[in-house]
Amino acid sequence: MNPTGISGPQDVERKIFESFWDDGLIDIIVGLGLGLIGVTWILSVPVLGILVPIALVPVWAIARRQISIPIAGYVKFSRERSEDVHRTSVILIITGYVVLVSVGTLYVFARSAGIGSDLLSRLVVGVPALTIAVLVLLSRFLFDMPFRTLGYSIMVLSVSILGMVSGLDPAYQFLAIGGGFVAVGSVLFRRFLLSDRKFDEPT
Amino acid sequence: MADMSNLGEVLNVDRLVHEPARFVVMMHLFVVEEADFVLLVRQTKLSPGNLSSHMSKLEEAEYVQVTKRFVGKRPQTIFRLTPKGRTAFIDYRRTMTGALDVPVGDGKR
Repeated sequence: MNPTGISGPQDVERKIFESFWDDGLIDIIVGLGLGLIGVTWILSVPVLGILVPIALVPVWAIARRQISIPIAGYVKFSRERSEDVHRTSVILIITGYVVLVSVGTLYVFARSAGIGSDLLSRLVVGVPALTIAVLVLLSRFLFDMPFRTLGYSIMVLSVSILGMVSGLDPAYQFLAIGGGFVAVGSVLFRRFLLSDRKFDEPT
Repeated sequence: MADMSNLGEVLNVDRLVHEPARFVVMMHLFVVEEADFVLLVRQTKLSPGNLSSHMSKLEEAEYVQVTKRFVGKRPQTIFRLTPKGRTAFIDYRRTMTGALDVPVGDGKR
């Protein structure tokens, strides 16, 4: 019987990689990012949404270096893992972009052709959130992201469906989703800070 | 089917790697490029004193390379498995896997 559920080096590496995200900072940053994108849509300046990840990624890196590493420790993953993360990130970005552009194009085409415009308008309202749900779900399987990403994808999918049913503006859907991420991230972050054990390093 | 000639090798297995705590530490260093003391304490659940003592032994045997530096005012000790340590870990794993790869059935004779 193996109480740890770990059977070999690959499992150990996966466990270290998963625990890398236990501080909840990435959840908070992603939540803030989605919320800010929602705000740019509400303010009718969606183009500024492109700046959100550019601004938040350095914030995450600094917070991680200043807060998380002193508590969780420093690790440099293998080159294979780093390349895998890079490759997967590119796949996720391209997938998100292709989905959004395809749906947008289809919508514009169908509208100009006068095909079921009412139903299409309803469905399109939920597509941005649906795209996020798919990307979050993919991140679990392609990235080995923590198990909670499955919960997030269900939450985002629910918001997307609610958006389609109620016609809620995608901007407000993003605000709601962002709030969910920030709430969970804050709980994890608090738990992470409480887990801090002070000890002296060997001299 | 297990190679029974492998059992002789078990008697000569590297005792430095064979010790459970050191095996766990080496396993962690085997799968990453480098890690610091804090991460190893958290991941292995060893006490800082215990880990420190095992790391000294591994360093003496030149199985790990130790780098000390300061991040701001905070000291950071980084460990990396040396090629010698990596080979020792692979050899140990191969020997033990070979010896233990025996169908045990239900344990009844």
